[in-house]
Amino acid sequence: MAKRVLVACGNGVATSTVVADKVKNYCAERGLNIQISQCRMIELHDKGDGYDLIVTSGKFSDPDLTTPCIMAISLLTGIGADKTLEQIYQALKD
Amino acid sequence: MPNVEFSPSLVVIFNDKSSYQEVEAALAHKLVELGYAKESFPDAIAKREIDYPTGLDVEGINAAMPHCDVSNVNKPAVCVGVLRKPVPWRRMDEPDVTCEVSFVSMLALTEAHAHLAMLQKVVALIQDQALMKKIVDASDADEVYELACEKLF
Repeated sequence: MAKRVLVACGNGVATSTVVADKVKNYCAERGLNIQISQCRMIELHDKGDGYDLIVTSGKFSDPDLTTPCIMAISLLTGIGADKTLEQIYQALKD
Repeated sequence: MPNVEFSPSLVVIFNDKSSYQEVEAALAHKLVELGYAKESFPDAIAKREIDYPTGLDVEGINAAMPHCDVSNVNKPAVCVGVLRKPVPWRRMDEPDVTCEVSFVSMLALTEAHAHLAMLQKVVALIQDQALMKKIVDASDADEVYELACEKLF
C-alpha cells in the first residue's frame, strides 16, 4: 500500500504545492510510490492522524498528533534541500 | 486555467526604508488597482502574514512570498517588490525570528494546488542568488521585469 503523505502550509495553496511536487518527484526517483495530499496548517490537528508522514513548509508542532512531521523549508530556500528530501524518503520507505 | 500574469506595471521599487506592512499594503493595493485582486485582498494578506509569515532566509538576498486564500483573487498574477533598504520580515520556518528581506513576490492565485509551474519558477528565482543580486541592483521597474522574466517565463 502506498505511503500517505500530508503536505501543509499556511493557506494550503502555494508553498505546499511546490513542496508536494518536490517530495513526489524525489520519492519516484528512488522508486517509492506515495500518495500526497495538501491541506492548510490549521487542518493538521484534525487530519494529521490519517497519514504516515506530515511535511510542512512552516513551523509546526502538535503534541496530540502521533504522525511524524518533517519541516521542509529547505525545499523553498534551497539550503539543505537534498538532506531534507532524503530524510523524508527514509521516513517513508519502510 | 489562465496564466499567471506579470508585467513591468506589477513591479514596485521601494527606495526608502519601509516596514513589511507598508510593503505588503503597497503591493496588495497595486494588485487590487489593476483588477487582479478583490477588495478583500489587502486585509487577507496582512492577516495571513501575522498567522503564517512568509519570510525566506536564504542566507543571502532574502525574499518573502506573501499570498492569501484564493477567494480574494480575480485573476492570477505576481507582483514584485524590490526593497533597496532591506526590511525585517518574520520567517516562515521560525515565526519569532526575522530576516532582512530585499525581494518580495506577492502571489495572487486563483486555484489551490494549481499554478505549480509559476510557483516553481518563483522559488527557482529566489534560489538564484546571482540573479537576485542583479534584480535588487536594477535601476527601474522595466529592468527588474526583464531580469525576473529570465526565470519566470
